[in-house]
Amino acid sequence: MAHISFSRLVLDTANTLLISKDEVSADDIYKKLKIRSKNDRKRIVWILSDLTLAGRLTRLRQGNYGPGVQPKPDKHERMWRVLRMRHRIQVDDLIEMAGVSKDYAKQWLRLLVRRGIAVKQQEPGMKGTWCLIAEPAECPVDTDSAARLRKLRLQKKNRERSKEVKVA
Amino acid sequence: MSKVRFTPTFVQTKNVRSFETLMQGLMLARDSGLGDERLGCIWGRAGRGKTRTVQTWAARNGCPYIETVSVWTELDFLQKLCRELGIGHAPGRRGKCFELIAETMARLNRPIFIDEVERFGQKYLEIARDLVKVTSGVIVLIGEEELPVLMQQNRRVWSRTYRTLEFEPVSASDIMVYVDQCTGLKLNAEATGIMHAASGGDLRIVRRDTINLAHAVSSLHRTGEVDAELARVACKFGMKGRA
Repeated sequence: MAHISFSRLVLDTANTLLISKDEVSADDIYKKLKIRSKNDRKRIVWILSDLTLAGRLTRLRQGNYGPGVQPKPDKHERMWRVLRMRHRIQVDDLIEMAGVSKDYAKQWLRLLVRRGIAVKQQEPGMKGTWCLIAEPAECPVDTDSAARLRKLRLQKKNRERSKEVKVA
Repeated sequence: MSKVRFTPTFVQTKNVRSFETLMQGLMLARDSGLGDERLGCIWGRAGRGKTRTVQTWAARNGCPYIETVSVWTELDFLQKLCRELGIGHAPGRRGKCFELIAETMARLNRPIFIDEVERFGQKYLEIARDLVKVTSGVIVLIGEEELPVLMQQNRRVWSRTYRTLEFEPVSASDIMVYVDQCTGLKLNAEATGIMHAASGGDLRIVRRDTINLAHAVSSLHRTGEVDAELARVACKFGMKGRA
């Protein structure tokens, strides 16, 4: 099963609710997702704010959201589209066509090789080329990185909390 | 002086700007519901940057893009179109595929790009025409010199064509902008002329010469504007483009 991020879950919930009515409130989303704790509610508010900034939702008034403008593909999807269009790509192609950084492109291509979606071909002294060998229906998502980032954020949060306790 | 590096950049050449104008016009016509012209035609010789421009635009705007394969049948083409439109399981019959594509296109507010379509003659042009007629969606066809001729031969296709756009040879000013944006180097007039003549209007050759130029500037420790001598060094090793 494909990994669904929490922000995608919030967006999907908002969009589902928006089918039957013109606007959706943050309370509707809490109820639908059965969110009760204050921290989780706060998290949803941040996600809604991010989704509004990304154009996925429109903020009608405080706490009320409408459908967003048609979203443009994110970096992963842009890279995935470029690979599917060209079948053989270099890191430079992703930098130029998908507008991503070199490190990000390399990291994503390594993920594809690990998952058996692409193979790397490289002659000594030459630039590497990645070939698409399997075509899954959905854009591959780097769940490992997401988990690693979550862990780092949690560590940072814990460090900050311990500092606050010491000061107190 | 620090080492000069070639940074791959999508440069807004004159052709790219014309392409964006064409796309804006097509989408505006679709959104306003004015007229029936929903087909676009992009043509030009190989190496002018048609495919790269269209692929970049399609990737950044989330549009379906199809590059035809010579062994395809009509069913293969329709099934590929189904997959690109996100239809999970493409049916095994042409009629059903067409129905599903039309259904999805009617909802999709994005153009579809079909590359190298001229190699199948009128066959795929008729499919494209039927799709835009039924759905009012936008389809942009990309090909070489034969494509506009083929479209003009078929009056029903031609009357639904919004505009044709020829990808022209890369101009001298495009080369100056390209070198500046990819390497940060400034070309003088003579150097630009040399690179322009060597490229023969081919963007691939400009790209290759720009990479050579960045290497030459770094290895010869040059500073300031790129002069004719350096431009000759950069163009020397490559195959000379033909006009």
